[in-house]
Amino acid sequence: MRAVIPIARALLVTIALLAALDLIFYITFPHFERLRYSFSAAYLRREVAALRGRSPILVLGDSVLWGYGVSERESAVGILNSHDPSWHNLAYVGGSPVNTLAMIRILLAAGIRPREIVFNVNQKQFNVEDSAYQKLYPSVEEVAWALTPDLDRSALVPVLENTRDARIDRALSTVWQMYGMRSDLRDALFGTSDAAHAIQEVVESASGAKRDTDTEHRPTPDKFEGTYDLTPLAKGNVNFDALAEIGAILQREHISAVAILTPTNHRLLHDYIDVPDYRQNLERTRFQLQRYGVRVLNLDERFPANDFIDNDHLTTLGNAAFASVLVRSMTQ
Amino acid sequence: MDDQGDVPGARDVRDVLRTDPLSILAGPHMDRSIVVGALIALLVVATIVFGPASDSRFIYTDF
Repeated sequence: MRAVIPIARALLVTIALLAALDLIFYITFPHFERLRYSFSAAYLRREVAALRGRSPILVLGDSVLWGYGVSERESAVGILNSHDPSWHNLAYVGGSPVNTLAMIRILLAAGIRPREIVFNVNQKQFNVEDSAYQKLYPSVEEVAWALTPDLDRSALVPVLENTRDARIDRALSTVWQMYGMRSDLRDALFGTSDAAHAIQEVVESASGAKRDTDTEHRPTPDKFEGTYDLTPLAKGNVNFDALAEIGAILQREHISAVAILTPTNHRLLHDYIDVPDYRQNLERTRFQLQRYGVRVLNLDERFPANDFIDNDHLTTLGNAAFASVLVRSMTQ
Repeated sequence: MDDQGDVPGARDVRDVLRTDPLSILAGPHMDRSIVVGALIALLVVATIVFGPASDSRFIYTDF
């Protein structure tokens, strides 16, 4: 018994210290200009909570609006945010119409009333062969699943495990912020998923292996064969149906919205998309949104090939031009 | 050097490490439970910060 008391006292000290540290962590952990490459459900909840009482212009969508390949400040939304802080980037790598719909549900459930929602629609995400088709980003699924109607759930393939360990992990993440936001913390500290990967990147850069990998991944047309499916878009395509749901919710909630038909590198993808079927799908997308009063901005062929890193991600100059187009369209 | 070849005080340090190692951190008056509790908390935080990314949140191979 005499040995138990010091152990219990030591554990109490541990818990008290961790609780105090967690409070300091929650208050002081930075709000990034865009979601991290790999963000947690805890970080997403915190970002959404920080929007309460504000009237932001919210940007939703995929890696194109997130600013893949450029820094936060160089991304189109980063540029707009530097001039007008009400621009807020909630796009993420792996976004798609079903993900945008889930994010809108999360925001509305949290009582956020955006002044405007700007989101992009990328034709490649309608492809049933796309690895992200029918899937929500894991952290988004964790927060949005309970808000998703049964009918919409049945159209999705859940990505989160439902094992006992996974449930304990999620429960712990909701009460212990530092644990829940560990992936964001590691990303903030090391610029990658963990310390081991950070060391690996340094070694690969020094040895030249990274340069070889980059050369290997240089975008060439053959790498995009099968990326775009030109089957006529119709009811039953999960992401096409999600557009209608997005439009209906925004109309019901009286939220003004602009949908961007994603800038696409037509020179690179000429063999696959410069055909009537692709243009007809763009028109179907436009109609699907416009019938609910969503303003559609067709930027599909707006930018020249040298503004692109690959098939749809823009260079620094491309992002600057993208920002100019966006700000002009918002003031029209 | 003493008669066993140690520098002065080395045997005292070895004695402390053998009998009461926490006294190095706690000093003569602090409760050892506090030191143990703080060390456990430090270990937990270090594990969270430097642990491997087993929670792969990004699941897509293309985007």
